[in-house]
Amino acid sequence: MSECSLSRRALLAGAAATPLLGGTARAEDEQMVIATWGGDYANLLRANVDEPLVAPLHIKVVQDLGDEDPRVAKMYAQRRLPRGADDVVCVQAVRAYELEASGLLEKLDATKVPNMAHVVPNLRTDFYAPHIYSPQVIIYNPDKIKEPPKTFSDLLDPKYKGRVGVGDVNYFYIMMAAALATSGDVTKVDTADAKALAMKLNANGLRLYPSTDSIGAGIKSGEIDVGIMWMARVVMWQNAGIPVKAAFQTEGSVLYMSGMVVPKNAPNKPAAYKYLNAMLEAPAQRAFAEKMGYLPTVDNSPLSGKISDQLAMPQPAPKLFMPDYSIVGKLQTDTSEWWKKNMQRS
Amino acid sequence: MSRLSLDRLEKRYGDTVAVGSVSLDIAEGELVVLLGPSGCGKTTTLRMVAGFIDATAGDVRLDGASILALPPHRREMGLVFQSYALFPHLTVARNIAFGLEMRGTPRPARDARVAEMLRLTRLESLADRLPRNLSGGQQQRVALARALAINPRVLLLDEPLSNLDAALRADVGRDIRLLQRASGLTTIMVTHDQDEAMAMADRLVVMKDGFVQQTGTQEEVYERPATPFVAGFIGRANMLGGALSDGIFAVEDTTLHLAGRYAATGPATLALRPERLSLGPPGPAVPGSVAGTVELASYLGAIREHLVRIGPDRRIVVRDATAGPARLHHAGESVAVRWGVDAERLFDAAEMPLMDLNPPGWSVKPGHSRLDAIQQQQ
Amino acid sequence: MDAAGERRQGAAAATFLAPATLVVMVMLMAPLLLLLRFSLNRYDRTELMIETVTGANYLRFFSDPFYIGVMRTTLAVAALSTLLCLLLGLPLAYRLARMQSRWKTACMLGIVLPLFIGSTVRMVGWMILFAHGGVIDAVARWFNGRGMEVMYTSFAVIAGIVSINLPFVVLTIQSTIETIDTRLEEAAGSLGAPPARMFWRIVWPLALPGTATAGILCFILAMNAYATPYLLGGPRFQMMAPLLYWEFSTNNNWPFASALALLLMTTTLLMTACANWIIPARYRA
Repeated sequence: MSECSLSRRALLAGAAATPLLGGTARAEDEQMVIATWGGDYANLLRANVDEPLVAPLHIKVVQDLGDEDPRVAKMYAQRRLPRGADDVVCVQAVRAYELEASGLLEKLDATKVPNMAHVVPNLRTDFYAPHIYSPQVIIYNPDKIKEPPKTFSDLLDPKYKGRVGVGDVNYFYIMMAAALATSGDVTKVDTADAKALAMKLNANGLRLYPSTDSIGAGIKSGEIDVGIMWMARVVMWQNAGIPVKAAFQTEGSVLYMSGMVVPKNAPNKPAAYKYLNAMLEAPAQRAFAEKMGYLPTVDNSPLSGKISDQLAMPQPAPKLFMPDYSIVGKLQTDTSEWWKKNMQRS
Repeated sequence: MSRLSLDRLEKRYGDTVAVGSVSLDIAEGELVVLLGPSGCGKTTTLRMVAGFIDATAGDVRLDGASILALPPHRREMGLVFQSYALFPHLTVARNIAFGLEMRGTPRPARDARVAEMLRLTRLESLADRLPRNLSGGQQQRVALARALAINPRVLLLDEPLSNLDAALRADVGRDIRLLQRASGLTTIMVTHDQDEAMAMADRLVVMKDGFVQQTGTQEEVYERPATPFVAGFIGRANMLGGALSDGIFAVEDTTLHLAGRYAATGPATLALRPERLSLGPPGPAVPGSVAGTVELASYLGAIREHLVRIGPDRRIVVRDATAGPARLHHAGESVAVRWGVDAERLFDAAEMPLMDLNPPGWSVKPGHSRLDAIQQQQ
Repeated sequence: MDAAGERRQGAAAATFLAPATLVVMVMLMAPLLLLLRFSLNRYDRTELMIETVTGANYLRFFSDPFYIGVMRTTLAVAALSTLLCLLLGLPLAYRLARMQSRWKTACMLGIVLPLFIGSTVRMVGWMILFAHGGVIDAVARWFNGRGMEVMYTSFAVIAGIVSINLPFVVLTIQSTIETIDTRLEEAAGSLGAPPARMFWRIVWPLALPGTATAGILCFILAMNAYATPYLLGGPRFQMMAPLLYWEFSTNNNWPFASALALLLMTTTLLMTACANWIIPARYRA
């Protein structure tokens, strides 16, 4: 995949450079770079943040598209440079905590990002601007499954043998779900119980998909009937006509969260702050909910219409857990090692 | 030993005729040479016999049985290629043994046969060499030994001498001839070199444009060429185009007095063998003569060669043996070129040979002009 | 030319070539040396890489059966796909080299054309073919009622690698066979060798140098395959190139990733040297 993303990135770098050379940007515009995922996410950022909210501030946004891993690796590689390449970097929460622990992140000045005040209190930190979040749920094909699974452990049922699929890239969230199911504590990912539960799931013919999208494809083609995914994806797949529904585990759901950080050596920090602030604006937040099914991270962006039905929580309200990333962030490397050597064994 | 016959063998590529209806019977032990310029179809014919090219029509029979349906590896033909086609990764001995291995000849018999072939071709000391370390002549001998080792029913030689130095050619040709004789192999050889063909053949097949012009012994094709092409291709000939009427052959302003008598009149082609012409002092216009002027005279060792101008832009070559009584004429000298019936060959407009009407008694032994004969009679 | 003049010319040539040679050497050697240096460093979660000189990364590879297993899988996949490429490529190359008609150009184009399409794009084609409910699965379902799982199997990976490497193999062998005089084949035929024996005794040994080159090329490409095992093998199929990329990018463990890269390169070189050594000297190009 690197070949593909490398060439794509090179292309985009070229495309990004053209406006500068072509002089289409207004002379007084300053420029900033945001490193982010390609595809829907980048397009939505452009349509709902870059163009309507940031451009009027005379800031020209250049997107540096790619996967999260190379993005983070690049930050590490550039850590000693006085000026890095990116002003804002999109990462999952766990990566943000890891980067913070390594001392790569700028402390966010709340006065320069007024909208931080609206961020749901238990999502707020001083180095990470949460953008979107979504509970991790059990997903199932309602055409095939009449009685949806209620807990992680239900997936071990022999009737689901070879019918359960998860994303290999989401290994850490799967392990947090296993930790929650075994100990009630999402941070206990490295316990023998959590690992044993994951191994049992593996032994029941668990299918590992290389990407998140391929899980949806697996449900659509009938390869699997059950899986573990974010709620947001369920909404997206439903909108795409894939027969899929969400069920909240009785033990509770881990919250997946993704957001933005500012590297210490960001070349244009004032622009980065303006960008974070724009990203937290209510209309931008609503757009991401409507198009991608993620929950807004701010309290002033109520949902309405079809999306509010799709994202409506069942009654009684499910338990939702925001992991303490300062603890789990330290476990990521070991967990990935363990996953590779144990779960990926066929 | 086998009898090989080609029966109206034909090869066409679309509308192009590569070989047109070749028929030929080759007796046991006979060496027949297919002779002609490049593109005449001789190699195509050979390759059809070997089985590398499928015939469009006709048949190839070996001892009466058609072999046309057999693939090359079941035709049992020994083939020597122009390029020798020695297997570069095998030693001389392994090259020679190859055909025997393919036949499943047991090791002792195979070794014995290889040793015999090495001895016959005087290659004993080179048995363990790779082909690339051999001279052209040695490679040629290996190719021959390899072809002969399998006791083929027919030996096919494709321009076997053309990759050799001129000096080696005659020797190697003689060697091949002796080996072929000794083994009594029915052989077809293909060449474009008439000297080679004359030296080695039992019988010649002269080909042009896919068709056989003439089949016969060396003497037949030399003395009685069937077409102007054969007359020109076999040996040398002064070819003159003109009109024939009553013993006179007119080439524009030049008049040649023919030695023979011919019934036909009209356009014709005259072929005169240079080595059957002689020079003498200018004299009366007797039969078998033309007047001319020496333009060039060369002493070539065994022979003398004179270029004689017989018309404004018309020259003929006269060659005679230096051993004879004649002398070397000098340039500018007026001479009469004289010849006998055996030196001239006339073809009509349809390229058919014209017959001399003189009674047989008139014809004289080669080497003497008819004039001498008349003088003797007188 | 006198000896002095020759020396002068040699010196001039060396002077002209020196900068280019130097650039190539630097471009080639510098990353390798850097990799070697990195591989001796120590990984730290927050500091990323601590400068030191330790063999721990290499020790980790050799002492953990997991990594040895990945290397073994990589070698097996590379060897098997090389073998398949040669088995398929040799007859194809032979037919192509001996083709006379106007179809030859068309066939050559057919072999070369896939090279114009990126290997990742071609992998997507395979994914469609192999996927659950894809062509193969559907056909199998029609026959046995159960379907056939091809995606994320070693078969899928090897098929993918073979499809990518085959054009290189065919073109390499074909160019060698073109240099073998067809008269040699005719000579063998006239000496009584049926086509199969002729091929084995004449064409095969003479095509061996080219075949070996093709095999080595294929092996190196397969050893370093990244996109194919990633896309067609899925997360459970472990080969060295995706593993070391994962160590590099997901785990940010550059020292260990560097060690893995060097180990992969060394193994590939060793295997290549062995292959060269097996071929008899007289066949070497």
